Amino acid sequence: MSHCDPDSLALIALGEREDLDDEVGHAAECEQCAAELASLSSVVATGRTVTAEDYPVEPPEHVWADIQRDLGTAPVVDELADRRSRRPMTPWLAVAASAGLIVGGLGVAASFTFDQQTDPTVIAQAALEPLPGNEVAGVAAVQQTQVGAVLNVSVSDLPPREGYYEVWLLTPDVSNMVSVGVLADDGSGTFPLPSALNLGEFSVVDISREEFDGDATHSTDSVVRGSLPISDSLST
Amino acid sequence: MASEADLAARFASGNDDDLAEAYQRWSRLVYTIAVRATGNAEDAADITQSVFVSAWRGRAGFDPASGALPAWLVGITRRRIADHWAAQGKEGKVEVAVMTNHEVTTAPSADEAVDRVVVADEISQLGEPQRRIIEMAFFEDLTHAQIARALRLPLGTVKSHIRRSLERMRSRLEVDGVALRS
Repeated sequence: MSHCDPDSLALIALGEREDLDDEVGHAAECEQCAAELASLSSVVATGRTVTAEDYPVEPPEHVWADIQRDLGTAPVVDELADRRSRRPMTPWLAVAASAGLIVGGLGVAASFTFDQQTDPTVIAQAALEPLPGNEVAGVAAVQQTQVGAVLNVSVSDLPPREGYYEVWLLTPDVSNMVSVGVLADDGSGTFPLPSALNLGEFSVVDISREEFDGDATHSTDSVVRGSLPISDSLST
Repeated sequence: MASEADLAARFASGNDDDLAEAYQRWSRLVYTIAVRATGNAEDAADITQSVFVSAWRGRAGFDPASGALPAWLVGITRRRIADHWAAQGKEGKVEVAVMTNHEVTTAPSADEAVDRVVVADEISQLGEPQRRIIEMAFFEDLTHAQIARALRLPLGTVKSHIRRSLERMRSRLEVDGVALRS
Protein backbone atom coordinates (compact mmCIF):
# COMPACT_ATOMS: atom_id res chain seq x y z
CA MET A 1 0.00 0.00 0.00
CA SER A 2 1.03 3.63 -0.25
CA HIS A 3 2.21 5.48 2.86
CA CYS A 4 -0.11 5.81 5.82
CA ASP A 5 -2.71 8.52 5.83
CA PRO A 6 -1.43 11.19 8.29
CA ASP A 7 -4.78 11.38 10.13
CA SER A 8 -4.72 7.61 10.63
CA LEU A 9 -1.17 7.71 11.99
CA ALA A 10 -2.32 10.28 14.56
CA LEU A 11 -5.10 7.93 15.66
CA ILE A 12 -2.70 4.98 15.87
CA ALA A 13 -0.38 7.13 18.01
CA LEU A 14 -3.33 7.65 20.35
CA GLY A 15 -3.81 3.89 20.57
CA GLU A 16 -6.74 3.42 18.22
CA ARG A 17 -6.77 0.22 16.18
CA GLU A 18 -10.32 -0.19 14.86
CA ASP A 19 -10.38 -0.29 11.04
CA LEU A 20 -6.68 0.58 11.03
CA ASP A 21 -5.18 -2.89 10.51
CA ASP A 22 -3.73 -2.10 7.08
CA GLU A 23 -2.19 1.14 8.29
CA VAL A 24 -0.71 -0.49 11.38
CA GLY A 25 0.73 -3.25 9.20
CA HIS A 26 2.27 -0.76 6.81
CA ALA A 27 3.77 1.35 9.59
CA ALA A 28 5.44 -1.78 10.97
CA GLU A 29 7.34 -2.23 7.73
CA CYS A 30 7.83 1.25 6.36
CA GLU A 31 10.71 3.19 7.86
CA GLN A 32 9.25 6.59 7.02
CA CYS A 33 5.80 5.89 8.49
CA ALA A 34 7.32 4.15 11.50
CA ALA A 35 9.41 7.23 12.26
CA GLU A 36 6.40 9.53 11.93
CA LEU A 37 4.36 7.24 14.18
CA ALA A 38 7.16 7.10 16.75
CA SER A 39 7.40 10.88 17.01
CA LEU A 40 3.62 11.33 17.25
CA SER A 41 3.50 8.57 19.88
CA SER A 42 6.11 10.41 21.87
CA VAL A 43 3.94 13.57 21.80
CA VAL A 44 0.97 11.50 22.99
CA ALA A 45 3.05 9.89 25.74
CA THR A 46 4.08 13.30 27.06
CA GLY A 47 0.58 14.72 26.54
CA ARG A 48 -1.03 11.97 28.60
CA THR A 49 1.21 12.77 31.56
CA VAL A 50 0.06 16.42 31.60
CA THR A 51 -1.97 17.34 34.66
CA ALA A 52 -3.92 20.47 35.55
CA GLU A 53 -0.89 21.78 37.46
CA ASP A 54 1.21 21.79 34.28
CA TYR A 55 -0.84 24.54 32.65
CA PRO A 56 1.25 27.70 32.88
CA VAL A 57 0.37 30.15 35.65
CA GLU A 58 1.61 33.65 36.43
CA PRO A 59 4.59 33.98 38.75
CA PRO A 60 3.98 36.05 41.92
CA GLU A 61 3.93 39.79 41.23
CA HIS A 62 7.04 40.54 43.28
CA VAL A 63 9.23 38.55 40.86
CA TRP A 64 9.14 41.27 38.20
CA ALA A 65 9.99 43.93 40.76
CA ASP A 66 12.86 41.78 42.04
CA ILE A 67 14.25 41.41 38.52
CA GLN A 68 14.13 45.16 37.97
CA ARG A 69 15.82 45.73 41.31
CA ASP A 70 18.60 43.27 40.45
CA LEU A 71 19.14 44.86 37.05
CA GLY A 72 18.65 48.43 38.20
CA THR A 73 16.40 49.10 35.23
CA ALA A 74 14.25 52.19 34.96
CA PRO A 75 10.58 52.12 35.94
CA VAL A 76 9.73 52.68 32.27
CA VAL A 77 9.07 48.96 32.13
CA ASP A 78 6.63 49.29 35.01
CA GLU A 79 4.56 51.67 32.98
CA LEU A 80 4.63 49.19 30.15
CA ALA A 81 3.42 46.44 32.42
CA ASP A 82 0.72 48.75 33.72
CA ARG A 83 -0.42 49.49 30.22
CA ARG A 84 -0.55 45.80 29.44
CA SER A 85 -2.64 44.97 32.45
CA ARG A 86 -5.04 47.70 31.38
CA ARG A 87 -6.35 48.69 34.73
CA PRO A 88 -8.83 51.43 33.90
CA MET A 89 -7.24 53.82 36.35
CA THR A 90 -3.64 53.63 37.41
CA PRO A 91 -2.10 55.56 40.27
CA TRP A 92 -0.06 57.81 38.00
CA LEU A 93 -3.22 59.01 36.28
CA ALA A 94 -4.64 60.07 39.60
CA VAL A 95 -1.30 61.53 40.66
CA ALA A 96 -1.04 63.51 37.45
CA ALA A 97 -4.49 64.91 38.10
CA SER A 98 -3.88 65.85 41.71
CA ALA A 99 -0.37 67.21 41.21
CA GLY A 100 -1.78 69.97 39.07
CA LEU A 101 -0.17 68.71 35.89
CA ILE A 102 -3.45 69.49 34.25
CA VAL A 103 -3.66 73.21 34.05
CA GLY A 104 -6.15 75.44 32.41
CA GLY A 105 -4.99 78.32 30.30
CA LEU A 106 -5.18 79.95 26.96
CA GLY A 107 -5.56 77.72 23.96
CA VAL A 108 -2.36 77.28 22.03
CA ALA A 109 -1.55 76.13 18.55
CA ALA A 110 -4.99 75.02 17.56
CA SER A 111 -6.92 75.48 14.38
CA PHE A 112 -10.19 75.96 16.11
CA THR A 113 -13.11 78.06 15.03
CA PHE A 114 -15.24 77.91 18.18
CA ASP A 115 -14.68 80.77 20.56
CA GLN A 116 -16.59 81.56 23.70
CA GLN A 117 -15.98 85.29 23.20
CA THR A 118 -17.63 85.47 19.81
CA ASP A 119 -19.96 82.51 19.83
CA PRO A 120 -22.69 82.48 22.49
CA THR A 121 -23.45 78.81 21.79
CA VAL A 122 -20.05 77.86 23.25
CA ILE A 123 -20.71 77.26 26.94
CA ALA A 124 -17.21 76.24 28.00
CA GLN A 125 -13.79 75.79 26.55
CA ALA A 126 -10.45 74.52 27.73
CA ALA A 127 -6.85 74.41 26.61
CA LEU A 128 -5.55 70.87 26.23
CA GLU A 129 -2.08 70.77 27.71
CA PRO A 130 0.51 68.07 27.00
CA LEU A 131 1.08 65.44 29.66
CA PRO A 132 4.69 64.63 30.55
CA GLY A 133 6.51 63.17 27.57
CA ASN A 134 4.22 64.79 25.02
CA GLU A 135 4.61 67.99 23.08
CA VAL A 136 1.31 68.56 21.34
CA ALA A 137 -1.49 70.81 22.57
CA GLY A 138 -5.03 71.60 21.59
CA VAL A 139 -8.36 73.04 22.58
CA ALA A 140 -11.77 71.67 23.53
CA ALA A 141 -15.09 73.46 23.63
CA VAL A 142 -18.60 72.46 24.58
CA GLN A 143 -21.18 73.95 22.26
CA GLN A 144 -24.93 74.00 22.74
CA THR A 145 -26.69 73.02 19.52
CA GLN A 146 -30.31 72.41 18.60
CA VAL A 147 -29.84 68.69 19.13
CA GLY A 148 -28.01 69.07 22.45
CA ALA A 149 -24.47 69.67 23.65
CA VAL A 150 -21.50 68.65 21.53
CA LEU A 151 -17.82 68.53 22.40
CA ASN A 152 -15.49 70.01 19.78
CA VAL A 153 -11.86 68.97 20.05
CA SER A 154 -8.85 69.99 18.03
CA VAL A 155 -5.24 68.94 18.63
CA SER A 156 -2.44 70.18 16.37
CA ASP A 157 0.39 68.08 15.01
CA LEU A 158 -0.63 64.76 16.53
CA PRO A 159 1.92 62.26 15.23
CA PRO A 160 0.34 59.64 12.96
CA ARG A 161 0.47 56.15 14.45
CA GLU A 162 -0.74 52.59 13.96
CA GLY A 163 -3.39 52.86 16.63
CA TYR A 164 -5.78 55.76 17.20
CA TYR A 165 -6.53 58.62 19.57
CA GLU A 166 -9.57 58.41 21.82
CA VAL A 167 -11.38 61.29 23.53
CA TRP A 168 -12.56 60.89 27.14
CA LEU A 169 -14.32 62.95 29.77
CA LEU A 170 -12.94 62.26 33.24
CA THR A 171 -13.93 63.30 36.71
CA PRO A 172 -11.22 65.57 38.19
CA ASP A 173 -10.10 62.84 40.60
CA VAL A 174 -9.98 60.36 37.68
CA SER A 175 -12.28 58.02 39.56
CA ASN A 176 -14.67 57.75 36.65
CA MET A 177 -14.57 58.30 32.92
CA VAL A 178 -16.62 58.10 29.78
CA SER A 179 -15.40 57.63 26.22
CA VAL A 180 -16.90 60.15 23.82
CA GLY A 181 -15.28 59.04 20.58
CA VAL A 182 -12.27 58.74 18.32
CA LEU A 183 -10.33 61.65 16.85
CA ALA A 184 -10.09 62.03 13.07
CA ASP A 185 -6.62 61.74 11.53
CA ASP A 186 -6.31 65.54 11.45
CA GLY A 187 -6.65 65.64 15.24
CA SER A 188 -10.18 67.07 15.28
CA GLY A 189 -13.60 65.77 16.16
CA THR A 190 -17.13 66.80 17.13
CA PHE A 191 -18.84 64.49 19.58
CA PRO A 192 -22.47 64.58 20.70
CA LEU A 193 -22.76 64.38 24.50
CA PRO A 194 -25.54 62.44 26.21
CA SER A 195 -27.99 64.90 27.76
CA ALA A 196 -27.84 62.96 31.02
CA LEU A 197 -24.07 63.46 31.28
CA ASN A 198 -23.17 65.85 34.09
CA LEU A 199 -20.38 68.01 32.70
CA GLY A 200 -19.85 69.53 36.11
CA GLU A 201 -18.78 66.07 37.19
CA PHE A 202 -17.00 64.86 34.03
CA SER A 203 -15.18 68.10 33.47
CA VAL A 204 -11.75 66.95 32.30
CA VAL A 205 -11.13 66.37 28.60
CA ASP A 206 -8.50 63.68 28.03
CA ILE A 207 -7.06 62.22 24.84
CA SER A 208 -5.33 58.85 24.93
CA ARG A 209 -3.29 56.71 22.60
CA GLU A 210 -5.10 53.45 21.94
CA GLU A 211 -4.29 50.28 20.06
CA PHE A 212 -6.55 48.08 17.96
CA ASP A 213 -6.34 45.39 20.60
CA GLY A 214 -9.98 44.76 21.39
CA ASP A 215 -9.62 46.37 24.79
CA ALA A 216 -12.18 49.11 25.24
CA THR A 217 -10.76 50.51 28.46
CA HIS A 218 -8.48 53.54 28.75
CA SER A 219 -4.89 52.67 27.87
CA THR A 220 -3.68 55.04 30.65
CA ASP A 221 -1.37 56.52 28.00
CA SER A 222 -2.73 60.06 27.82
CA VAL A 223 -1.44 62.71 25.43
CA VAL A 224 -3.19 65.92 26.46
CA ARG A 225 -5.69 67.04 29.06
CA GLY A 226 -7.69 70.12 29.93
CA SER A 227 -10.31 71.06 32.45
CA LEU A 228 -13.64 72.51 31.34
CA PRO A 229 -14.70 75.32 33.71
CA ILE A 230 -18.26 74.14 34.05
CA SER A 231 -20.26 74.43 37.23
CA ASP A 232 -23.10 72.05 37.93
CA SER A 233 -25.61 74.77 37.13
CA LEU A 234 -24.17 75.21 33.65
CA SER A 235 -24.25 71.55 32.89
CA THR A 236 -26.37 70.46 29.97
CA MET B 1 2.39 42.69 19.41
CA ALA B 2 5.70 42.12 17.70
CA SER B 3 6.48 38.77 16.12
CA GLU B 4 8.53 36.31 18.13
CA ALA B 5 11.52 36.57 15.77
CA ASP B 6 11.37 40.34 15.89
CA LEU B 7 11.33 40.37 19.69
CA ALA B 8 14.19 37.85 19.78
CA ALA B 9 16.31 40.11 17.57
CA ARG B 10 15.54 43.19 19.67
CA PHE B 11 16.11 41.30 22.93
CA ALA B 12 19.63 40.45 21.80
CA SER B 13 20.36 44.09 21.06
CA GLY B 14 19.07 45.14 24.47
CA ASN B 15 16.29 47.53 25.40
CA ASP B 16 14.44 47.51 28.73
CA ASP B 17 11.08 47.32 26.96
CA ASP B 18 12.14 44.09 25.28
CA LEU B 19 12.95 42.53 28.64
CA ALA B 20 9.48 43.53 29.83
CA GLU B 21 7.90 42.01 26.76
CA ALA B 22 9.94 38.81 27.03
CA TYR B 23 8.92 38.58 30.69
CA GLN B 24 5.29 39.22 29.78
CA ARG B 25 5.33 36.39 27.27
CA TRP B 26 7.48 33.72 28.83
CA SER B 27 7.59 34.20 32.59
CA ARG B 28 4.59 31.88 32.96
CA LEU B 29 6.37 29.13 31.05
CA VAL B 30 9.60 29.55 33.04
CA TYR B 31 7.85 29.82 36.40
CA THR B 32 5.52 26.86 35.84
CA ILE B 33 8.39 24.62 34.69
CA ALA B 34 10.26 25.62 37.86
CA VAL B 35 7.23 24.96 40.07
CA ARG B 36 6.70 21.53 38.54
CA ALA B 37 10.37 20.62 38.70
CA THR B 38 11.01 21.78 42.27
CA GLY B 39 7.56 21.34 43.76
CA ASN B 40 8.02 24.59 45.60
CA ALA B 41 6.48 27.94 44.62
CA GLU B 42 9.05 30.05 46.48
CA ASP B 43 12.01 28.27 44.92
CA ALA B 44 10.29 28.59 41.56
CA ALA B 45 9.91 32.36 42.03
CA ASP B 46 13.63 32.61 42.86
CA ILE B 47 14.52 30.53 39.82
CA THR B 48 12.31 32.66 37.57
CA GLN B 49 13.96 35.82 38.87
CA SER B 50 17.41 34.34 38.33
CA VAL B 51 16.56 33.12 34.80
CA PHE B 52 15.45 36.54 33.57
CA VAL B 53 18.27 38.36 35.31
CA SER B 54 20.90 36.06 33.80
CA ALA B 55 19.17 36.08 30.42
CA TRP B 56 19.27 39.86 30.38
CA ARG B 57 22.84 40.12 31.58
CA GLY B 58 23.92 37.39 29.18
CA ARG B 59 21.85 38.52 26.23
CA ALA B 60 24.99 39.13 24.17
CA GLY B 61 25.43 35.37 24.18
CA PHE B 62 22.02 34.80 22.64
CA ASP B 63 22.15 34.46 18.90
CA PRO B 64 18.66 35.07 17.47
CA ALA B 65 19.71 33.31 14.26
CA SER B 66 20.56 30.10 16.09
CA GLY B 67 17.32 29.49 17.90
CA ALA B 68 14.16 30.74 19.52
CA LEU B 69 14.19 32.98 22.57
CA PRO B 70 11.81 30.78 24.62
CA ALA B 71 14.02 27.76 23.92
CA TRP B 72 17.01 29.71 25.18
CA LEU B 73 15.09 30.79 28.30
CA VAL B 74 13.98 27.20 28.89
CA GLY B 75 17.62 26.11 28.59
CA ILE B 76 18.63 28.59 31.30
CA THR B 77 15.68 27.42 33.41
CA ARG B 78 16.87 23.81 33.22
CA ARG B 79 20.35 24.83 34.34
CA ARG B 80 18.95 26.83 37.26
CA ILE B 81 16.79 23.88 38.30
CA ALA B 82 19.87 21.63 38.19
CA ASP B 83 21.76 24.19 40.33
CA HIS B 84 18.84 24.22 42.74
CA TRP B 85 18.93 20.44 43.14
CA ALA B 86 22.69 20.41 43.44
CA ALA B 87 22.49 22.93 46.30
CA GLN B 88 19.57 21.08 47.93
CA GLY B 89 21.31 17.77 47.49
CA LYS B 90 24.20 18.68 49.76
CA GLU B 91 21.99 19.68 52.64
CA GLY B 92 18.91 17.57 51.97
CA LYS B 93 20.71 14.28 51.37
CA VAL B 94 22.30 14.04 54.79
CA GLU B 95 19.07 14.82 56.55
CA VAL B 96 17.00 12.33 54.56
CA ALA B 97 19.67 9.66 54.69
CA VAL B 98 19.87 9.86 58.44
CA MET B 99 16.12 9.75 58.81
CA THR B 100 15.44 6.87 56.44
CA ASN B 101 18.77 5.12 56.39
CA HIS B 102 18.27 4.60 52.66
CA GLU B 103 19.97 5.74 49.54
CA VAL B 104 18.54 9.05 48.53
CA THR B 105 16.84 8.96 45.17
CA THR B 106 18.34 11.30 42.66
CA ALA B 107 16.65 14.63 42.12
CA PRO B 108 13.84 14.44 39.57
CA SER B 109 15.00 15.61 36.19
CA ALA B 110 13.66 18.91 34.97
CA ASP B 111 13.30 17.51 31.48
CA GLU B 112 9.96 15.82 31.99
CA ALA B 113 8.55 18.90 33.66
CA VAL B 114 9.72 21.02 30.74
CA ASP B 115 8.01 18.79 28.20
CA ARG B 116 4.77 18.55 30.17
CA VAL B 117 4.52 22.30 30.68
CA VAL B 118 5.41 23.02 27.05
CA VAL B 119 2.65 20.64 25.90
CA ALA B 120 0.18 22.07 28.43
CA ASP B 121 1.04 25.57 27.19
CA GLU B 122 0.40 24.51 23.61
CA ILE B 123 -2.91 22.83 24.56
CA SER B 124 -3.99 26.01 26.33
CA GLN B 125 -3.33 27.94 23.13
CA LEU B 126 -5.45 25.65 20.95
CA GLY B 127 -8.77 27.12 19.89
CA GLU B 128 -12.06 25.35 20.36
CA PRO B 129 -13.11 22.70 19.56
CA GLN B 130 -9.47 21.61 19.07
CA ARG B 131 -8.61 21.94 22.75
CA ARG B 132 -11.65 20.01 23.91
CA ILE B 133 -10.99 17.28 21.32
CA ILE B 134 -7.37 16.79 22.35
CA GLU B 135 -8.25 16.80 26.06
CA MET B 136 -10.89 14.12 25.45
CA ALA B 137 -8.37 12.04 23.47
CA PHE B 138 -5.55 12.48 26.01
CA PHE B 139 -7.25 12.53 29.36
CA GLU B 140 -10.58 10.78 28.86
CA ASP B 141 -9.10 8.16 26.55
CA LEU B 142 -11.98 8.46 24.09
CA THR B 143 -11.69 7.33 20.48
CA HIS B 144 -12.18 9.82 17.69
CA ALA B 145 -15.57 8.24 16.96
CA GLN B 146 -16.68 8.73 20.56
CA ILE B 147 -15.44 12.32 20.52
CA ALA B 148 -17.24 13.01 17.24
CA ARG B 149 -20.49 11.68 18.71
CA ALA B 150 -20.09 13.63 21.96
CA LEU B 151 -19.31 16.92 20.23
CA ARG B 152 -21.60 16.28 17.22
CA LEU B 153 -18.78 16.84 14.79
CA PRO B 154 -18.01 14.94 11.56
CA LEU B 155 -15.49 12.10 11.97
CA GLY B 156 -13.16 13.64 9.39
CA THR B 157 -13.13 16.97 11.24
CA VAL B 158 -12.21 15.32 14.52
CA LYS B 159 -9.48 13.25 12.86
CA SER B 160 -7.85 16.22 11.18
CA HIS B 161 -8.08 18.37 14.33
CA ILE B 162 -6.35 15.59 16.28
CA ARG B 163 -3.58 15.29 13.70
CA ARG B 164 -2.99 19.05 13.43
CA SER B 165 -2.98 19.54 17.19
CA LEU B 166 -0.47 16.69 17.66
CA GLU B 167 1.71 18.23 14.95
CA ARG B 168 1.56 21.63 16.66
CA MET B 169 2.62 20.10 19.97
CA ARG B 170 5.40 18.21 18.23
CA SER B 171 6.75 21.36 16.56
CA ARG B 172 6.67 23.15 19.88
CA LEU B 173 8.44 20.27 21.65
CA GLU B 174 11.10 20.19 18.94
CA VAL B 175 11.91 23.82 19.66
CA ASP B 176 11.29 24.36 23.39
CA GLY B 177 11.16 20.82 24.73
CA VAL B 178 13.79 18.27 25.63
CA ALA B 179 12.94 14.76 24.41
CA LEU B 180 12.09 15.72 20.84
CA ARG B 181 14.60 18.53 20.56
CA SER B 182 15.85 18.58 17.00
